[in-house]
Amino acid sequence: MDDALAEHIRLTAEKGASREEIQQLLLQAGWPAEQVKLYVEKTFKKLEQGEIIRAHSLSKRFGDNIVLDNAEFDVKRGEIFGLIGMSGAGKTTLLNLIVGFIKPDSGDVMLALPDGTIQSALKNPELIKKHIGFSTQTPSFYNKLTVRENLEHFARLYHLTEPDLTRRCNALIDLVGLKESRDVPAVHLSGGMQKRLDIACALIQDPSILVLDEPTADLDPILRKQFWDLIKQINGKGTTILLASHFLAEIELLCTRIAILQNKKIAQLGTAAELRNIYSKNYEIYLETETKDYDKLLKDLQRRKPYIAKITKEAGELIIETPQPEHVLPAIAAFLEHQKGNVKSLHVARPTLGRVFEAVVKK
Amino acid sequence: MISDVIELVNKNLKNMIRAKAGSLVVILGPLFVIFLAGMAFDNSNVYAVKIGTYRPDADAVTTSLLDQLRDQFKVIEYGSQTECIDAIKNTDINTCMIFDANFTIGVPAKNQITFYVDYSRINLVWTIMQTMTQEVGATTLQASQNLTRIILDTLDYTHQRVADQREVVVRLTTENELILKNTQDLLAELGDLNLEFDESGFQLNNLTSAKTQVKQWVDSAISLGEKGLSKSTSFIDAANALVKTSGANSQAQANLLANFQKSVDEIKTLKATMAETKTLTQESFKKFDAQITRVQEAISNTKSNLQGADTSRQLSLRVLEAVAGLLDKSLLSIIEVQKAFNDIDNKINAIEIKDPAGITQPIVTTIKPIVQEKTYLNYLFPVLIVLVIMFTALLITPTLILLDKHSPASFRTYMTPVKDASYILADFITAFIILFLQVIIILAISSIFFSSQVLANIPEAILLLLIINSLFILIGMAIGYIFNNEETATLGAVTIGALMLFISDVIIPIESMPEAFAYIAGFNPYVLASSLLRRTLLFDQSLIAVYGDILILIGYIIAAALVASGIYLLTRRYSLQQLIKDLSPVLAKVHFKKK
Repeated sequence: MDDALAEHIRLTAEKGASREEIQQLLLQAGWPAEQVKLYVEKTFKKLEQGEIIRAHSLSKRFGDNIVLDNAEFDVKRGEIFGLIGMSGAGKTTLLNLIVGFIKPDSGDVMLALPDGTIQSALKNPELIKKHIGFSTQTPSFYNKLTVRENLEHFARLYHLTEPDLTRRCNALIDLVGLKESRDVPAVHLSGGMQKRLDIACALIQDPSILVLDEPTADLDPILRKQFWDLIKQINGKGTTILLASHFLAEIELLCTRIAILQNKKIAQLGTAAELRNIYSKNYEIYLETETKDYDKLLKDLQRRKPYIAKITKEAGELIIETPQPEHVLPAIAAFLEHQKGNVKSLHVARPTLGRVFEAVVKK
Repeated sequence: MISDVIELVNKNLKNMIRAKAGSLVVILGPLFVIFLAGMAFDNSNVYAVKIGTYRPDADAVTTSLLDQLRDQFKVIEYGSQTECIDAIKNTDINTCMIFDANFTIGVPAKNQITFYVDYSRINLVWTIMQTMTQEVGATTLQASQNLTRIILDTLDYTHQRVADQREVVVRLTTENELILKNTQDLLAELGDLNLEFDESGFQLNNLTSAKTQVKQWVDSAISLGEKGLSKSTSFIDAANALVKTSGANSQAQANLLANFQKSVDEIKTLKATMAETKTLTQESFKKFDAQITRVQEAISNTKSNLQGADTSRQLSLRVLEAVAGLLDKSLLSIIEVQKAFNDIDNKINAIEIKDPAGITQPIVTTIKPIVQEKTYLNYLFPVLIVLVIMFTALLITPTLILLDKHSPASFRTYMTPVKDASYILADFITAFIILFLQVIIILAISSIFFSSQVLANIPEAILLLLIINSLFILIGMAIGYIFNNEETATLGAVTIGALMLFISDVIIPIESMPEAFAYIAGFNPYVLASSLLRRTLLFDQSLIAVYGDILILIGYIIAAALVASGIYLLTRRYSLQQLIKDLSPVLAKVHFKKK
């Protein structure tokens, strides 16, 4: 009964009803007053502190092509939420649904607002404009305008007052490190600087959520690292980040939680560790020698079968999955001693997000 | 190689056909233009030409001419020339036909028909000139033939009469030759006549009688003198006696006797003189008589001569009588010829039209502009400026919109809480500013060529150009919102521009189109706009005079604004999705693949 009441309160809240309205409704429906007050407060507190975005049963098709089918997930306030999936899995479509560029065929996107209310983004597109900043793979600003002019232009469109506008622009220029280039036309900025300007533009209205779609697709590794540092910095100031990327290693390092989009649905959702655990609780020992001849080792490992979960050989590299690497490593050490300096690489690791992703995709 | 080419062509066609809007515009646009242009131009008639006319004197000739025109055109009569010309300016009629007062075919200064035309519609002017030349030309030709026929008839009559008189002239020539011969004969006769005589021989009788009388007077005078002298002598003798018997002193007697003696002496002298005179007189008279005799002889000779002359005179009289007879006959012939001349003269005088210009061109048509003479550039200025504005607005506005549509920044603008109306208004104002500047530049440059024309109506011109600008900008906006790439938008804009151009009076006059088409073309924004500008700039009409057309344009503006806004709202989301595809190459790739 309590769970049903809590769910009812949550659903009503997500339809945009205030806590007073919900209380009134529940009282009229005959729920006990004390229970109503307790559950309403609890549910709202959970919503306020927890989810900032909740995607409900989002479905979208383009002609006969179903892109999303009842996709559901939530983004918690203050986290960096990563969305991964194969090309064409629907990541961009999902993000576009969230920012209101595309209307879903069914489902809704609920936003928890700073004032404590929960509103449907579909019914209140203005809320998206106010509370969500968006940045795509291609920087979106006016090339002929300078850094400052771009920021001022978008700030004015968000109706910032002149003092707020100046303050906000200066703060963002400082944040993205474009102080020296503030009067340089955007077209003359380097790729990394343009990306930073794009982020600054996305943050101009001080949104509580920043949505990034493949933000580092065109950047080299150094610029990518700088960019992720900036994202962490922004997140550190309290902005919730929702991003889609195909750089899984970086996603793994950066994101609080990760959703894997597969078969038009959210196939997996959790922290990197949770995803790894879902995939496998084993460790993986990666070994590569000059000769790539592992027969002697494989024979030796046969004797330690209880500690071996799986052995695979990929591109000359031997991958040994084991729940207890300490029982396998002595055999490898003996093998390497016999090889006499023939080793190229050896390391022990938990499965990477890439391997988890591969596993999910293969399923 | 051929298979490669076929494959590539196949690919190109597929690409084009699958770009739906593009292929629709590429294929249907020109088809539509050609279809409409074909409908409009596929004729050679002048369906809707309206002719205004003013004739100071309504008579049978002008009525007949107008009735002839009524068979093909709508003819409206006006009460004055000004009313008629104003009707052209108000576009109620296309040409105004003014007849001369007392219009008379073939009579210079009365045979002129003046066509007033709007030179700013130059193709209509040529059409009207051609048509009117044909229509009036037929009447003119008929009149010219009639007049020529009269002249030819007269010539024929003259020819006949001259032929008739040729015998009379021959006869007259013969008679005259005869008269000449007789006269020559007479001259010869008269040439032989000697009429010389001594003039001193005249008045001889008078001289003889005068001599006799003088002789008598001389004799009588001498006789009287002698008697007088005898009496004087007797008187003196008596006086002497008296003196001597008187008692007068001797001295006095002596003096008297001396004086008497002196007088007796003088009388004696006188007697002697008289005797001498008598002698001399006798001699003179004898000489005189001898002279008279010689004169008489001369006269006798002269008389003989004159008798000869008389004979010649008698002969001459007979000759002259014959000449007089011949002259009588010649006179009759001359009278006959004169009568023929009079008839010919009367016949020629009966020809009313004697001016060669009147015969060769019995009706003179003149084409005059309804406004002060200007160059073709002046006349074409309103059409040209609207043309420039139309195409600029139709091309620049979609370009501006598509520029922003395709700009990655536009999606960020979309993210801002800016109302749709603001976007639409901003697009309009941006294009408006650009085109306004263009209008100012055009007007500035135009003022170099037509300073008086432009400057005189600058406020009206600017206001109208802004209205026209607004309309075409809104049409351009609708095009910009419909299409998603610049090529198709440009093609769409060119198609719409070409349609407006074809269904206007730029290529052929609207009046030459089928009536239904012409009616629709009358509402073509381009036609309305150029007509408004023409009426204001060329005819100096006030905005109040053209308010009807302005209201229609404003109606179009409202409609175009609604259409553009509607299209914007309908296509906004689609455009955004297209932009997102561009911004997210991965998504685009997948979508295209799957489609």
